Amino acid sequence: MKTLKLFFLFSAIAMVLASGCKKSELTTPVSLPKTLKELKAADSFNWTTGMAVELQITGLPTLVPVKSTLTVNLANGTTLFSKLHQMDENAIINLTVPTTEKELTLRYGSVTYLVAITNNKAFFSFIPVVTD
Amino acid sequence: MKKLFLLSVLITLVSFSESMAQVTLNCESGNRAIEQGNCWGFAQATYTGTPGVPITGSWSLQSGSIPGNSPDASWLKTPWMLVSSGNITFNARLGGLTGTTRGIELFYIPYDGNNPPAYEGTPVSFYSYNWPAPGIITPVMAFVVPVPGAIANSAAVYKIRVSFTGEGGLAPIISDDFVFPGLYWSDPANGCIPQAPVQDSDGDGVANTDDAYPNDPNKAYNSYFPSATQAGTLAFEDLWPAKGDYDFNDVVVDYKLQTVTNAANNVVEVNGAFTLRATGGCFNDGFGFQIDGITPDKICSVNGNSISHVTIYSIGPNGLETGQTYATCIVFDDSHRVLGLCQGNTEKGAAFSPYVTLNVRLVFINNGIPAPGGVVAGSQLTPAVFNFFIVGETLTGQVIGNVQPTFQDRGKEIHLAGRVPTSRANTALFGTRDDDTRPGEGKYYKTANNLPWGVNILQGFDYPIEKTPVNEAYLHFIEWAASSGTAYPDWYSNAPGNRDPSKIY
Repeated sequence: MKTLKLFFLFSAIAMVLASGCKKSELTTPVSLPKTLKELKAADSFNWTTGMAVELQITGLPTLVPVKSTLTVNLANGTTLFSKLHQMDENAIINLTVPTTEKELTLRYGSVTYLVAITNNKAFFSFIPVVTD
Repeated sequence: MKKLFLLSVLITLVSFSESMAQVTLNCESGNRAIEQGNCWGFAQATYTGTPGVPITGSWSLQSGSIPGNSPDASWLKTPWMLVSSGNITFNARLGGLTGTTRGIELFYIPYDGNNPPAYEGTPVSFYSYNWPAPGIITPVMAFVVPVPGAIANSAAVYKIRVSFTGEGGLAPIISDDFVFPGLYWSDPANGCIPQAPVQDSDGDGVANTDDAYPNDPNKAYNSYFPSATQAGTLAFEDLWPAKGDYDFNDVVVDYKLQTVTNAANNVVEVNGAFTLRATGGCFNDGFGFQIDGITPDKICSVNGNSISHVTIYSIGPNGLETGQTYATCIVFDDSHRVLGLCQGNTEKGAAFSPYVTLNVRLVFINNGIPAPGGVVAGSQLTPAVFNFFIVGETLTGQVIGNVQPTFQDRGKEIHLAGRVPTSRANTALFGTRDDDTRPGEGKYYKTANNLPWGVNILQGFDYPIEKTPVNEAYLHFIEWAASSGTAYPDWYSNAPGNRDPSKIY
């Protein structure tokens, strides 16, 4: 009787432990296809090494109209885009850049700014951050 | 000669179409950052909108704590100005109960070209006032301070600094309604240095230093895709709608686009450099691009492309293909006529055909006159609208000896994955053989497993040798595709472990 009770006890413990296992702990790793024939790509994948980036620019209300050249470059300084831009205007500039790029450099007038790319967007404001 | 001299030194203030006779600050923006962006300076002085505190309106300036009676601790500074004669005026009062002394001191600051980045010289005091009895909240005082003769109406630029001084206690100085006689002379686009005359030889409003065409009023800027210094590569399989061998060398074209815009940011022309490097396919393929969303009447002319006088393509008077909803440019109509025969430049050891570059120019505005359809804004002509494709061949159905003749088939367009066809595509081919195009779902030019017939590598691409699948030449290609581009984003590069060089041409 005592042995039977111990058996049921251990069985119950084992059942509790087994039911606590999550599915992910029991699955086997997914292996990559070895050939293109076996490969199934995602519906949204379009087989390019470029990505769309939307650069949003916020204007600064100015005391007098201020116009200068806005240039957008890759981080290494390579030119992508230039336009004459009025400083108090907002703008959206749509670019296509290599997927490996993490930031853009903007030049307005004689000043250069570094702008990070996050989730296919980059944000720049002419309104400065007050430091004191 | 005199006229030439005057023309050659045409100097305009291109940034500033108007200046003010007064420079004022009323704090009503409620945001010092906006003022700072307009070249005002603040130190230990913030905007307060606490009810009952502002002198006028909703906001006033409030000094911070004032240690040791220094005029350098808490202040407001104007932008660079051409100061005129007259009076500097503002309102101020004390805003607290405690303090030993409180005062206001005014300085003018000359420009010093040897002192970057602020270029400020030594401040010179020209006015001071001390409240006689700090310790009470005083009524508002109206300050009227004559501009010192040393700077009034000078051709030199100055800043005016209003310093808030005092010792002991916490009572701030509240101030508002600043008026400084003179002209605003800072340049927010150039680090707030003083405005400087700029040369604009063609008078288009773009300074010579920024103008890629300083003597042409109809052109100003160059934009590039993929970039000014890097050509991308388009690599196609040409057996669509059937799958090929995935060596992606049937047609290999390097491309670099330069978009020229004017000072109004409208497109003047697009210059495309297209270099045909390989014709691994045995079809006489054509190659071109549609500019999605841009109608053909927006383009004046096309030149530099290679179209034979006997061709399956119908080219209109402006050089674009006829019968198209959107502007479609055929860059070349026959890859083998341009570069060489079947398997051109895809087999090591075989004869090499020198690459052929076609410099194609699409003119949108000709000498300042737009095409009949009107202008195209630079913001419309993003890289994403350039929709590249090749045009393949179809078997005639005959068999002559061991040969199955083919003919160029205009309807057999082969686009990059996800791109829409032109009006001349034979949509009856969709969903046949290995193609799984479903226009209603937005799926174009992919197989059932979403494999493509073309790839676009912005960084340039060394293609595989004949009949070598791309994944055997580029060892992380499958991981890149399986991860939707997040794994091995540089699979195409020559980084260690990326390539089997024996399988790359």
